[in-house]
Amino acid sequence: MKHEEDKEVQGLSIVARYTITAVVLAVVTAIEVLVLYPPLVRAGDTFKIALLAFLGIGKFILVVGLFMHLWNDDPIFTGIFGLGMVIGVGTLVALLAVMNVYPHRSDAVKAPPLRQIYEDREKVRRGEALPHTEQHSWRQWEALSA
Amino acid sequence: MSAHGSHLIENPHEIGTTGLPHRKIMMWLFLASDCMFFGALISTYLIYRGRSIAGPTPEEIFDIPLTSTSSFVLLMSSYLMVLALAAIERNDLTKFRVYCLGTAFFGSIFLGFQVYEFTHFYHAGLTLHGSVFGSSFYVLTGTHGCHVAIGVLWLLALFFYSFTGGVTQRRALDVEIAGLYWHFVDIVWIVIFVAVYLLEYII
Amino acid sequence: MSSEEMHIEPAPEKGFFDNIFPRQVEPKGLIGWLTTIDHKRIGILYGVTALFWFLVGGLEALMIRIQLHTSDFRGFISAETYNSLFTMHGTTMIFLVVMPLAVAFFNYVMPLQIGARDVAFPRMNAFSYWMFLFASILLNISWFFGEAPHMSWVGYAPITEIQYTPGMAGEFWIIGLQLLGVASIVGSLNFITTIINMRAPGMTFMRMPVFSWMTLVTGFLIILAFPAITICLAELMFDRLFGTNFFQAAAGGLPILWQHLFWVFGHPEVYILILPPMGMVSEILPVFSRRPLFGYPLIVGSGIAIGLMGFTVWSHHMFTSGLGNIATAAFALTTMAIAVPTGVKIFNWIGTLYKGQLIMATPMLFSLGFIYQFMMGGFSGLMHANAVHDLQQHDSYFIVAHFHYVLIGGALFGTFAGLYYWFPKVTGRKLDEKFGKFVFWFLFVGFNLTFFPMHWLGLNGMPRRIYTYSPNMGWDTINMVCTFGALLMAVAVVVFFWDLFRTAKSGQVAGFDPWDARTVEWSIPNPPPVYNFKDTPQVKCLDDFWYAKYPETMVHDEDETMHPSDYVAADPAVHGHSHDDHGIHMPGGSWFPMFAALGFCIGGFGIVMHGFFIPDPVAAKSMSTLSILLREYWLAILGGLMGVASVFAWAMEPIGGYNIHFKEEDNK
Repeated sequence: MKHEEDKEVQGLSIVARYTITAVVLAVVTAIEVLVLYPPLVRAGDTFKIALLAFLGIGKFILVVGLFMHLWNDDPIFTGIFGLGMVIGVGTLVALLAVMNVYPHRSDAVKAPPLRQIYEDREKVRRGEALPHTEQHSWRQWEALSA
Repeated sequence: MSAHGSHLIENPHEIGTTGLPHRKIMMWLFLASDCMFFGALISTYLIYRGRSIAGPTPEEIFDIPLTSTSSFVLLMSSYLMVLALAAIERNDLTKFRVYCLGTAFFGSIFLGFQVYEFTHFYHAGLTLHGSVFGSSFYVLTGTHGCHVAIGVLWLLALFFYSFTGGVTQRRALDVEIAGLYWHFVDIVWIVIFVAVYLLEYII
Repeated sequence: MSSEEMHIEPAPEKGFFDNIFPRQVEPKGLIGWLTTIDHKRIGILYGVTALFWFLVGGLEALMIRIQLHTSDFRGFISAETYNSLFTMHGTTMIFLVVMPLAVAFFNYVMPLQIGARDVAFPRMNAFSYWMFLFASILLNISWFFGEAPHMSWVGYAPITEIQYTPGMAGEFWIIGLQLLGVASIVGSLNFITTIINMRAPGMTFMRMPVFSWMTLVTGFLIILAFPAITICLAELMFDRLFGTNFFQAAAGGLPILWQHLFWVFGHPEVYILILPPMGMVSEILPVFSRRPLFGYPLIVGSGIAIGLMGFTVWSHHMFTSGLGNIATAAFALTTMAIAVPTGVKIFNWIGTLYKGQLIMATPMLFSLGFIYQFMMGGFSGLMHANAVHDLQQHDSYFIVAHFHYVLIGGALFGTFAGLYYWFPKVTGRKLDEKFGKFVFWFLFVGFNLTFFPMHWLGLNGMPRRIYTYSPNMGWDTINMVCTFGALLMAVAVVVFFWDLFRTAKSGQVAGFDPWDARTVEWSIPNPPPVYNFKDTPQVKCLDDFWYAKYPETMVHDEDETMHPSDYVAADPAVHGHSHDDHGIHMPGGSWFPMFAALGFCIGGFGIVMHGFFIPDPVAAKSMSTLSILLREYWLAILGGLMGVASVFAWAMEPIGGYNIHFKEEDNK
């Protein structure tokens, strides 16, 4: 049974490898959730986003590579899926950039969330002061567009 | 060649000159296409983040422990799926049935969580037409839920088909392809879980 | 080819559905066409359907031109009808003519070129055709409801939103395109799998004919670009049917997102339209220059490059929407960069012609017309790749001139070249050369007369999509010339169709290999037998058939790429089973692809018609949401169920079919 032999990799049965992968996936999911709790991770937003992206991509690769067998399957499948991923992710990352979704440098002029504009307008109407007016670049934008 | 070799294929017409089964190539092509599909939906959601002019906001209604649990359930269903594939490749039909039904069951639990979540959000005031958050959230996660539901139907079909002798070691490719679809639905959720749920608590 | 003496033996069938809808053995007559899964028949069906819509779309264009022939022209068609005409003209020509014509060639020619018996998934192929047919009918019956889509083929939100386009027009357009998208994606999944997995032994990727290469690239473009329009159409549909806010600015939605998602699809779509004709021209030029394609690897490579870069340029359709300086500059640069691989192709085609012994047959004339006019379209494209120019030219007749130069002058001329070239393959008869030259020259002169003056009109400021214009704009003369050109084109098209019918019935019999061609599809009789190749061809080099005919041309002077070292023996172990004791197995015909497509299209029609089934508000007060939805969408649900049930039945169908046995002496 050639097929049975194929399944023995590094002394581990295929089932054992799947089990280890599943455990790793579960642990990584737990870590992802724990990142949200400030007492546990006292770090900046950038670090947290980077960490989450890293963990998410790690999970993605584990499932695609091991559960979907891309690691020991014909490279043609990796090529097909990779092409879809590269073109898909590339296009949509560019789309997000064109639509100004990413956090900008503080001196960049960026459209504020509409919800915030409406809330602030409401505050102004009620005569309340807006906090940190000069620090928010989007207020320049609103002043320009007004 | 691969550990999931083509030498187990029943019908020689399914194998091409590369030695790979047609259907597996087509499934990967479909998944590549689906990357773009979900990519467009997820970026729609991200573009509309924080643009709602009516409440409730995501922070107000998201329930991270609940969603984490449902994510965990979906991940574990992927684990059962590979076990089902490994079982049918060893010609262990009984174990295949157990794991296949288990996968479908875990998928249904995930769907149950989603139904609960949607109902809960609706009562909290988040509607399809109330805000762009509601629109993009329901359409994104609902489309994913549709994919899960189709996967559950597919797995159940395989499960019942196995009693008519339709699922055998020589036709393990059927299970493998269903598995590819199922895992893809799982990785889409991995992305949604980070980009929709967790990101909300950071920026 | 020796006489094909054979006998046919049905394969044993079993299975539940065989009692109801048996798989057809050796299908004949109407049932044969309805249940066919033969790639050649499906190709013919695709071609005939697309040519029919070509007539419809052409008629719409003629009415547009007649309406615009002079200023202040009233009483011919109303402004509303005019809106519907240009919308449906664009949608028809892109989705129902140029794309399906290319798909017809993919279907018919590509499996023959790679030496395959059929495509990888014959029933899916049939499903793709029926889906296309029913969806195209769905889109066009909107005329009979008086609700033809009238918001232009790009369907920009918020014009397409319910408050600005009430009624069924929006749904007709959304659902029609959505279903056509399904047909395209399913077809492409099939073609890519076929090309990757069903090439004849010895046919490596770099020995594959260029047309098959372009099929592959186009297939990838379709499966990666169509999801974007699927999503934006779905979002728009949700906006219209269920009141979501995706493109409702008042609730925070961004109508500009529609433009982005649409053009993320729309620009690759442009290359989906042009790459197949480029492949056809790359096949035709070497045959009629009697020398190998110059720079084959470069032509293939630039085709791939165009495909990949096609995804990086979409925002150049939106320079006037205020993208910001950085984005505008970036997209202007990527757009200009895409001219490089296109230019590489054109220089290679010219290189093929150079020193060739040119035979000016009709396919060659159309190919040369293609090169010239596509270049013209490319140059005007480069002009508005410059964002500063584009601000002036946006939405003017300059743009109309540009994209008609690439779509008619490019895509359609290329496809006509392919039609004249492969017509003997399909019917066994050759289209008449005299009529062919007449058609070419009338089309060529008419086309340039129609669209070249539009450049001036556009730079003079005449906007697109206007119903009429004032006499003191000074656009009368040029518009009259344009309309005259359009009539010349109409004459050419009428003659073309007449010649097509005449030849298909009783034309000059083409015989074997009428063009002295280079690729392997010409090594079998015209028209090909149902099993294509009796023995799977063993491909030893690029242009295998040519070097099999003329082995003495193998070693060439210094600029040729083919050397004896390229003549690698095919590995018979890879494939082997051409036909053995079991004969050639042919799958049986199936009803379910058509039923499935019909079900989904009825479902789509149900969504379009939902307005008729909405319960009146008073009665609706006492109903639950679910029951309102069920009443509103009963036809949609029913159609969907029919589709899903057909898919299940399709999956459960036995293999069936029949085996073809050849006489013993033919086997050797």
